Amino acid sequence: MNAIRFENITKTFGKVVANHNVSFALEEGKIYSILGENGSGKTTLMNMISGIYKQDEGKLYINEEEADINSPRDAYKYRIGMIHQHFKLVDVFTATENVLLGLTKEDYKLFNKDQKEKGLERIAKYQAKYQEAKEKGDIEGMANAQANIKRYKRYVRRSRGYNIPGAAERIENICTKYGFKVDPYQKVYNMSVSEKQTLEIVKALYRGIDILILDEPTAVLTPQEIRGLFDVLRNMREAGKTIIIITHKLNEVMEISDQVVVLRKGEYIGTVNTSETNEKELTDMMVGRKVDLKITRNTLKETPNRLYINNLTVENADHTLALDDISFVLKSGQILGVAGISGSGQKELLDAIAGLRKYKTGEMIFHNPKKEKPVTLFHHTPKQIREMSTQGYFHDKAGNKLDLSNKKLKEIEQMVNNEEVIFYEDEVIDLKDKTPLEIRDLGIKLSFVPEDRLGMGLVGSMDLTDNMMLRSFRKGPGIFLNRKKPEELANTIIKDLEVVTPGVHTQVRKLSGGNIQKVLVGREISSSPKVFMAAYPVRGLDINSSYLIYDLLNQQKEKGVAVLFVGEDLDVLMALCDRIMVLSGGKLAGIVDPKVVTKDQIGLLMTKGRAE
Amino acid sequence: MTATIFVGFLAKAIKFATVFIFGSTGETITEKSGHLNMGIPGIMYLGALGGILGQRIYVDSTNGGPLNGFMVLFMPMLFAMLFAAIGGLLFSFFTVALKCNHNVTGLTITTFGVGISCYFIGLIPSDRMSEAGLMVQSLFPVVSDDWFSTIFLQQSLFTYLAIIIAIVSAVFISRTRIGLNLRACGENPAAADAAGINVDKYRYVATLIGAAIAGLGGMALEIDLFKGMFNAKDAVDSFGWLALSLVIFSMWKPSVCIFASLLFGALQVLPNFLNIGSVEKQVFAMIPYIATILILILTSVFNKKNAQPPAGLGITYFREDR
Repeated sequence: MNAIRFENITKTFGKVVANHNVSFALEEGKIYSILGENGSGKTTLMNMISGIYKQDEGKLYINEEEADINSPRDAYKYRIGMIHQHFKLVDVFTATENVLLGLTKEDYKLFNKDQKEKGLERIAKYQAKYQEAKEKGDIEGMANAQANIKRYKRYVRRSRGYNIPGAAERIENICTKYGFKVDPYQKVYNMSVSEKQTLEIVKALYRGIDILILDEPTAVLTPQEIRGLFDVLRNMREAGKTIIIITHKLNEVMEISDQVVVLRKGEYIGTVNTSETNEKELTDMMVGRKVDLKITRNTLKETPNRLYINNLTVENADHTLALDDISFVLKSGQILGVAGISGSGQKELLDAIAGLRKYKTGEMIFHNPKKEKPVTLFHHTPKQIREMSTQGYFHDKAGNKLDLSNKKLKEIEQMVNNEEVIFYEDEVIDLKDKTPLEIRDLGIKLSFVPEDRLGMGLVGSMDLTDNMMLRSFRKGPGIFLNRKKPEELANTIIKDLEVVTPGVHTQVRKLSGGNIQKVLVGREISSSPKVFMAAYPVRGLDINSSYLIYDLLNQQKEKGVAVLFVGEDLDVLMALCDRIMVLSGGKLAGIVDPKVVTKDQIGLLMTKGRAE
Repeated sequence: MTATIFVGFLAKAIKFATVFIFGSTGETITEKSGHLNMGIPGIMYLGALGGILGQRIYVDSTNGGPLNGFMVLFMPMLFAMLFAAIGGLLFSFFTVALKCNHNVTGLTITTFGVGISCYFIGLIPSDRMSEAGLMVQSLFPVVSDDWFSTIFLQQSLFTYLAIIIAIVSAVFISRTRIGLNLRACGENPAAADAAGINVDKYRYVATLIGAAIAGLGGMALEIDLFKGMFNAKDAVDSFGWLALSLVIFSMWKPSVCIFASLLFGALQVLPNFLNIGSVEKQVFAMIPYIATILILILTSVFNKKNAQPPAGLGITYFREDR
């Protein structure tokens, strides 16, 4: 039987058509993946079944009955639950309180019917036992029966409406049934991401859903946690539930789903059996043309050290350690990947380097390649000069590097005096106590793509040009702004990165997530940085855009930029990065070579030192 | 002698505390739903206007005959709640239906409420109002002169009502199904909506009820404390601002608010019982605000999760918003 059937569904937002004439059906008791690029309308389509949006045209059928879903409440009536990418949980509530949220008296009656019936049955049973014991004169038996009657009366009482212990009991029953763990009395703000997700699933199951939709469920989990989630989903399939997963990760699509539904530009393309297809075919369907899904990794020969981080320790507001004694070297011409469960100190690390956060102890030394500033040799000892000659400080007049390591000191001096060679030295700058602006004024370009695109990177209610100006508003004649160059830059970015936007004067928040990310990355790269830091630059991006971003990172690397890339997809990290640094709970769990380690080894490092 | 003064001081402090309990309990209920109603001073003034108007209508309807004790209590309450609820309705309409900024809307309501009430209160004649005002007080007809009855039994019915309302709301907010839903609307409206709660409805109702309760505060001040001897200079709104800061001071807990109100009430009357000049009186009047700032500093320094404002406070919610 069809669990869900879409019939000619159309949904528009203003001028943008999110879904156009979509018709297909999903069968009961299967796991589906919905695949599509950004803006292909997957989430919009799912939001219509879960009551967030309402379709403009077309009909929805749930279990072959026409459904009119106007709100999340209606969706629950049709036994549909959705787990959103951003969890819909109240932080200061306990797990149980979150589960009970929004339930009505009728819900309680319905959900607790079994409990009530079971309780009443037991009471009747023990009352009979009590009578029996009374006739026999068995005082112990009477007391025993009475105690049980009392117990089950409480049990029945708990089934009547709002009742925390009763609900906690039911939550534990659900957990044992499907095989996961939730502490009913734990506050949400004390939970890890994976625990929050489990709680969301419990919340849906508590309401007795038959259809579960998960929007990007694996984005923030470790490989081990993903495996756990998939086990739960398979258990749910065994119990006859229909599961729909929205995801960008093809390997997970192949692993978990029975069938794949492909959408492109708001239209339905087709449904294929997972067993009869492969990643390449799915991508081609999704994009609509042949695409090359390969991340290249060129190993550069010269990778001078650019940024030294020594014993960096950063404190949170409540004096716990966000980063604990981190030391590493960032090399130009290399991509250093940062892996770790989200919240392991990635944000704090980038903030500290960008000068946005004061650190407690440690130092950050930046070696600024200064080609404009030839330094005479006379300040250096012969030993230093010999060292420099091997490290490539000497250049000819055209600026090419010269290897003078086999020359004698006298000869070098002679060449310098004859102006045959020019001698450069890196400027060594301590970043301690520098403001972000000072760091930029010093010529140190730390381009930074924050985790929170619209919170720290861009201003949602300003247009593209104005957002470009956030980096250049200090330049301009007198007190007036120079609008021309930012507009040119905005146009270049739109062209180069294929940003889908009505124009440069569109408010940024009206663009889709992927396009917002492109604008931000594009602006940061345009300032020709020497160190480029990117945190989750492909979060929420589709395959095509993601590979575009990976290419951009590679281009930066080949230009000699030192790239720090905080990612969540381990497959990508391992294919793209030259080295991977693993953070676990603010500690450096290890720096590994992606060419020799396995995904599981990294996964283990990610959870190293955590209480299991 | 000093003991008598102290008893009188406490009795008076409780009277003032009544106003604060009404005002801040009403605002707490509103803020729990996520609505930051800064219009409370204006709404309390509207309540005062309603109270006086209600009393006037009743007193006039007796045509000089004897006054009924129940009606003397009932009419001001009814009108005060009605008038204040109109203020709350305006606020909800602007913030929910028109999605206006909470701060701007609230301050507008305050300006509106203060202006309109000041004007109309000045127009209402005050004859026989003090007679009605005195009747409000005499709930327990036979009371002795000992300290206990002076402090606890000679208060007006409004005081007992205020405490009951505060306790009931405390239990309601923390222990009931609807209270849970209400808190969810204030903490994370998106989560509440996804759980099937009608956020707009909860916010409307909470703001209306909150405003009605706060309006009782303004009424209690005019009818009970000033015994109907009102004039436009009474500055109900200054009590409103204090009630707003009391919400922060009591960390959004109506049960704490009862005691905090008593403290604020005591600070309010203390200058009258001390032999000090007008400058010192002004300094005393500052203490509640300074105390609120201190509490704000302490709660943010210690960053305790259960002493924080609702996370969604002051944010308009729209489901299809990104």
